[in-house]
Amino acid sequence: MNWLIAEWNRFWFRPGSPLGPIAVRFLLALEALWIVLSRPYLPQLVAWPEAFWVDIPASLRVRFFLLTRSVVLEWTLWALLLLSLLLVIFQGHRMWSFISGLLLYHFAAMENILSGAFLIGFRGLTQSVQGLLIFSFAKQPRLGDPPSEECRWPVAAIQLLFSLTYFFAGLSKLYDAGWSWVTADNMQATAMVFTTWPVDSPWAPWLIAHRSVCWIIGVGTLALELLFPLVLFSRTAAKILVPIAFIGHIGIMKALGIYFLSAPLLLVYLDWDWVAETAGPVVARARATSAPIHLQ
Amino acid sequence: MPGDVCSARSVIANVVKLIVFLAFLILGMRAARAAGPQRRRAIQALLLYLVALNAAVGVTQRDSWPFPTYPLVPNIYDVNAINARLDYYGVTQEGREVPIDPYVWSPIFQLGLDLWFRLHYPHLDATQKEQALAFLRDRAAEGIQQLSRGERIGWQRVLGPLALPDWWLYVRPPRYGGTIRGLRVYRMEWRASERYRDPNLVKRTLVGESLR
Repeated sequence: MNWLIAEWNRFWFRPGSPLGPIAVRFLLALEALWIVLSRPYLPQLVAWPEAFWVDIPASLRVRFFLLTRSVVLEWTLWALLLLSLLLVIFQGHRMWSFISGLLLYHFAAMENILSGAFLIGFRGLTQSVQGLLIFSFAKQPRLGDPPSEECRWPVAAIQLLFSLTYFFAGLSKLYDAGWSWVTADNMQATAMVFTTWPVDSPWAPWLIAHRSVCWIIGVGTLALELLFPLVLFSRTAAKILVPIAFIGHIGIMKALGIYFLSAPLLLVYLDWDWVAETAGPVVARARATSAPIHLQ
Repeated sequence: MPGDVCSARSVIANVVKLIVFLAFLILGMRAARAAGPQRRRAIQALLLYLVALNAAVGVTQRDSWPFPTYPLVPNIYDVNAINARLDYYGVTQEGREVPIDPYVWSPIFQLGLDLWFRLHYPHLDATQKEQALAFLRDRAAEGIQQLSRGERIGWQRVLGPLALPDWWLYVRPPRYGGTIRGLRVYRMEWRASERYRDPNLVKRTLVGESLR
């Protein structure tokens, strides 16, 4: 038991470089801003006719803090969201992280609220909601600070939650389909079904024609998903699994027409301590050689 | 697929999910305020909550967004099973049907609109159905006009081609240069094994229409 507690504490509270939380917070806010600016009419949805809203349960609206259908209020909140994300990116103050996280929670569900809140997790804002709120609970580091546990635990928590994206995807396959999910028959059938849906899946016919590739993809996908949490504990695992996951997303996009909006956030698995150790002396040297010129 | 969203069970589920999220916020704010030896304990409580909550989500396979289950293509697909989707067509002045660009429905994605039609549309009365279809018809007509003028619509309005797509990469039909006077919504049913060989092997059922 003592061993477990020691490992738990080592995992969460070993000193981490301040570069980690600064960089991860920046990535989360930038990704969120990109998605929000790619959905510019979200606040307008509340202005859709009553017919679209009359059957939406009040409990669903309350859950996502959509208490009134005021267009003015929604546009005001949307503007505040943009401002707070920009302030997180440029200032990093944790109050803005908190406001951004809450507003993203509200707006992320907006598209899905008319459809029973189905699959909000694929809207790309899950990691930003979780991560920005977690950063708002942690101390705000500065680049020159020494490594500390306050720089470690929020990044570790965000990496853990993101790894569940893959682990749970694998788990749901085992729950819903069992081990037979990996078979070439299922991969071929999946690709065939997706080609008949109105999505862009140009690689599907090639995949259907290559049974051995289907086997490799089936076994490889499930293995990757179930093993992905290893990236939390092993640098070697991270170096192997993270690039494979990224390539896998390109394959899924081309074969099934499913685009994983959070794919850029795989960058959170960069070894930030290593980056700080490597980049630190380089930056210091650059600063030393570009000393300010004093005019007489 | 979500079940009866208006049932008492779904009310309880939504309330529980809200409480789960609020508990995360409360534990987090407690950690944010704590100082000294209390701080480590408050952070431990927050982390334990996150681990326990996600373990529960994983084991029960019950999505509690922002702590989701991520069911990415988890099924065994049967190419002989019936697939069903909705298709949206504009009716031209000449009475011809043209496919509607999925971007005209912004800020809702077509998949979301499909689900709304499946979950909520059948519960509406005739007037409400008419109101909804007329709104979608006008929205489609406006979007088609904007596209024909070369304007950016929907999600591409601000960022243009840099805008992120939906997670579902829709096929966009060729642009139609004229005006439409109506909208038809069809339920399309097909077997993948048949439609893969012949894209026209689809059964079409009219769900609703709105004509000017």
